[in-house]
This record gives sequence, structure tokens and C-alpha cells, in this order.
Amino acid sequence: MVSTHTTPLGALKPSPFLPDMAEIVRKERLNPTETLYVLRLTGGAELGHAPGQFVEVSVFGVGEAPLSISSSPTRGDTFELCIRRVGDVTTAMERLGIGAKVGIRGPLGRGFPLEVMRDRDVLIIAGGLGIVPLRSLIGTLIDERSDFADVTILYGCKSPADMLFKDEVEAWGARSDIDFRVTMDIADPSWQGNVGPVTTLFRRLAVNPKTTVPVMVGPPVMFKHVVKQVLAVGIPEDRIILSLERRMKCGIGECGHCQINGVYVCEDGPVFTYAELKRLEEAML
Amino acid sequence: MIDRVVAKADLIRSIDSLADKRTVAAPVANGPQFSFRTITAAEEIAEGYLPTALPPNKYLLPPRETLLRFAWHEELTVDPVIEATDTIAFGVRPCDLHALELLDRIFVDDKHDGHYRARRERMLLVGVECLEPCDDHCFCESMGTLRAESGFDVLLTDLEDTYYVRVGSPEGKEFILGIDGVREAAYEDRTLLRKAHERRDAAFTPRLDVTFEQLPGLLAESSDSLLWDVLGEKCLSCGACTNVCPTCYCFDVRDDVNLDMKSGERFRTWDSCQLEEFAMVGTGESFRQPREMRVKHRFNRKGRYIFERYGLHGCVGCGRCARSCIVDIDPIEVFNQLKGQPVER
Repeated sequence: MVSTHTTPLGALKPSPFLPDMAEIVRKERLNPTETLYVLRLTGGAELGHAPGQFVEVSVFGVGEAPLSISSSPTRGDTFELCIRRVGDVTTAMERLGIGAKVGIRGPLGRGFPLEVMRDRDVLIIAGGLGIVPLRSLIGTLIDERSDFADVTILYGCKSPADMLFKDEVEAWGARSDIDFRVTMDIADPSWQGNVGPVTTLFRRLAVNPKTTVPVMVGPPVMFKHVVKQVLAVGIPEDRIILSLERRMKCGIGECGHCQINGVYVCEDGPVFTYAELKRLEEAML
Repeated sequence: MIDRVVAKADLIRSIDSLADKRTVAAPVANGPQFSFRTITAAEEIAEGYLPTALPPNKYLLPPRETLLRFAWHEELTVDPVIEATDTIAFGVRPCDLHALELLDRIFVDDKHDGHYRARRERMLLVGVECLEPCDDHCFCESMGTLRAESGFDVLLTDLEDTYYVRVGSPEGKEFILGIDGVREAAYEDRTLLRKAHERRDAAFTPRLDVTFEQLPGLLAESSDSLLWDVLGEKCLSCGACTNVCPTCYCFDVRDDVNLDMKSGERFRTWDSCQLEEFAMVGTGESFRQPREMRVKHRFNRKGRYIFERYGLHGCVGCGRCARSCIVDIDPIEVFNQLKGQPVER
């Protein structure tokens, strides 16, 4: 896999902890706990990220949090973060209005390996919040659709109320050049679709192991089951792509919080192949 | 570079005069222990052989270090804080010199961390060779860190009334030539040095049943050892071992707001992988929750991960963690037990 972030932040700035400033240009509440933020760097420069990379977001006086970039780099000079309110920084973000300034360090880490996916079938498997980083990849796949063979998206949610990006999900479902399927762990009376974990969707697919690149992001329990499934159909370990969540505190491979055995998720990941992770017991796969 | 010899009395006089102009950090007796302290006179320096409670790293990665200052006045302003003073670290042992080489490799060569680099560039390292083992916890001979061939500006060897001086950098040369009475080392001085080294080599014996080159392999094989469960039961997760370790550098990053509510700072502060919250993510999952996993992580960092990633020692055999451990977890015993009872379960 190719690294997408090569120059250390410290080589670019007097302090690797000095963020760029960005302005909140739009905010949209998606759920009681999740909000989409549209941001623009001060000065108007593009963030220059690759799908799957993350940024450290600062609310000064509160702290910094690592957040995956949810928009495709093909979508102009703004970028989007979809944030669940869970900690100090994400809660403080909710109090910020349009025009407010936050700090941004990044893009950081290694993103999804587009070069591996080109001309191949891409199978995206999203569980819960996993759709947030995968949306940046989905946007790129749609905007550069002719570069890829078949595109399939499997999206598993806890319940219909937890589904994110409802309008976009509908649009993905309506496209003829994408096979989009969604499932709920628990249905409610409004839900007419599939019920069960995301593995139930996979079972009904005809996957060609020679041409398919599975890309999955979700909770640890989802990785366990889905990795087993894709291995069972004969996809090689080094072509199974996963993105992991850990506590990337410094984002530059110093602070140690995101370490999985000898690997730094912030620097070596967050995107890995299964081959890279399978011997690491702390990867919990 | 030419080796030199300096009389102890001359060096002491020189340090006295330097301490007025620069920060001089040196080992000072502190009850039964020793600490690196900023001294004002050379007489404060302790000539004991026990390693200091904390390594000299604290002058490069302070327990709390301001990274940024921010203020909300007309508009939000954010400025980096790079702080450094001219510092002489005097009396640094070879184990600690090896540890500082690792920190340089990570923070300067790899990460270009401006905060560390500024402090490091203004620090002069005056090493002192160890000629006898400090106590039962030290195992530098096994880790290959008893001898320092680089990583110092000046390296002193105690020859009773004089110090034999090896020079490691132009800054070191300038420092040593600035001392009155310093002379070039002669044949007799080199003979005295050789004899001191022979006595040293006889006094230090390997304490580990493995070489440090074998440690990564031993630890990789020992992933399922029952010893981790035993150590996990014993360990109190207090984090003392990581606080005193010269190769531990993990930290947390946090913000403070000043009482004026209009300004504040971002700082980094020492943290420990032995604490349960260390690997916890926003949604509350801790990825290294069981204590045995945390103990195993520490030993793997020391003996394996850092060596594999940077090619330098992640443990320098100083024994500080063992000296500070309330429940007597000692890396000598841990590594030897792993060697003695490989993989079982």
C-alpha cells in the first residue's frame, strides 16, 4: 500500500501541533447525536486529503479530537466532518455557530488505497459510524466512476433512526451504476427493508474473489464476522482493506495512545490491509 | 578528535563559573536517591553511582510543556511556544546517553518536533562512564548500553584526581578547551584509561540469559506466555515504571484556559500506557483494558516494538522501573523467565 502522508507536520511548521484555522460554513443536524459540519480553511486553500484520512480538530480551550474526513476530495474547497457528540471536543463543537473558527491539523494518516481499487470491483461494507469515513471514498467512486468496475455498498445500521445521510443513501440506492443495500439490526414499523447484521447482506452477494476489493469500516465485532466472510469466498488477505478507530491524540506517531502492538494507527493507518493486521492481537480482529 | 585530560579541581571551578551563565543540570543527592537538579555550585554534584530517580529527559520533555498559546481578543490568535535555554547536562550515564539517542532519533530525525529540537540543540551532554555496577537492578551490560561511543558532546572517565575526556562534537571541544589547565591525553593517561576499562569489564557481567538482539524474537514468541497473566495480577497499574523510564516518552495533550477566560494554552504532559484510560476512545471502548495486556505492551515496547521500528534500544537496562516498582516487577526476572519458560497455554 502507498502512504498518502509523507511530509511530517513538524517539517512544515515551527510546531507540529500548530493547527491551520478553518471556518464552519454550514452545520446540519443528522440525528440527535450526530451533526455534519462543512468547513473551509482560512485563505480558501483545499485541504488536499485522500479518502480515509483524518484531521485533528481543535476547539481552543477545550482540546483536540481526531475525526475522519467524510467528504470526497473531488468536492471542492470545503470539507465535511460528521461528528457524534461523545467527548469534550465534540460537545463543544455543537455550541459553535456558522462562522466560528476551529483549528485543523492534517490531513493525517494513510487513506484508502485507490490505486488498488482502480479497474477492480469495489465492495464497501459500512457498520454504524463506519459510513462516515467511507462516504469520502463513495464520493470519489461516484465522481470517478469509470475508473472502477462494479461498485457495491453494504450499509448496516442499528435502527432506521440511526441511519446517517438519509438523502444521499436514497440517491445511492437510486443509481443504476451502484449496487446499494442497507440493513437494520432492529427494525421499526416504518422499515420495509432487510433486517439483520450486515453479514446477512453479504451472504446474498455473488462476489468474484479475483476482482473484488472489500473495504470495511465499522465496530470491532463487525470486522470479526465480515473478515471471515470475505476470506471464505477466497479474497486474498492483502486485498482486504480496513480502517480502524483508536485514540489518535497527537496524530504524528509520538504520543503512543493509538498504538496497536508495534503499529501506530495515526501514522501507519488508520487504513490497513488485513494481512498487515492479522498477527497483531491488539487489532482485535 | 584528540582526547584530553582535565584535573577534577579545574573542571569543578569551570562548572562553578558556568553555572552563573547557563543552566547546569547535574545529579544531586536527594535523601537515599539522586536527582538531576539545576545547580548553582559544583559542590552540589553527587559522585554516587546510583542512577538518578528520573533520567535527564525531563530537561527535553518536561512533565508539562506548553505547545501553543491562544487568546480571544479582537480575534482568536494561536501561537506556537518554543522554549529553550542553554543547558549543560553534567554527569549523564551511558545508559541515559543511549536513551537520549533514541529520543533524538524519534523527535528530531523522524518527527521534526520543534519543541524537543529547540531544547536539544541548546543542550550540551557531558557524560560520565560507569566503572562499577550500580546495584542488582542494573543490566546495561546485557543491553549493550554500558559503553557509549556516541551521543555525547564530552565523555568523562574518572581516573581518581583527573578525568579522561573524549570529545564527541565541536561544541564539546569548545566546552573542554574553555577549561583552564586542560591538556592533551598522553600515553600514560591512555594506559590509565585502559586499566580502568579492564576493571570495569571485569566488574560488569551479563544479567540476562538473552542478548538484546534476541529480545524482539523472544517477546514475539512469548505472546501467549502465562507469565503475562501472573504479572497482570501483580501489577498495580500505578505507572511509576513509565514515569521513571528514560525511553518512555508517551504523552497526553490538553488545554487550559487562564482565569481571565480570554487566553489559554495547549500543553503536553507525561502519560502512561499502564493506565486504563490510555487506550480509551471517545465512545468509551478501551483497547487495552486488561492489566496483563498493558504489562505485556510495556515489555514489548521496551524489548521489541521500538527496536523493530527505530533500530535502537527501547530499554537501556538502567533498572529504574525495577527500583520504583512497589510490587517488585523487574525486567531482569521477566526476560529471564520468558527465556526459561517459553510459550505455553
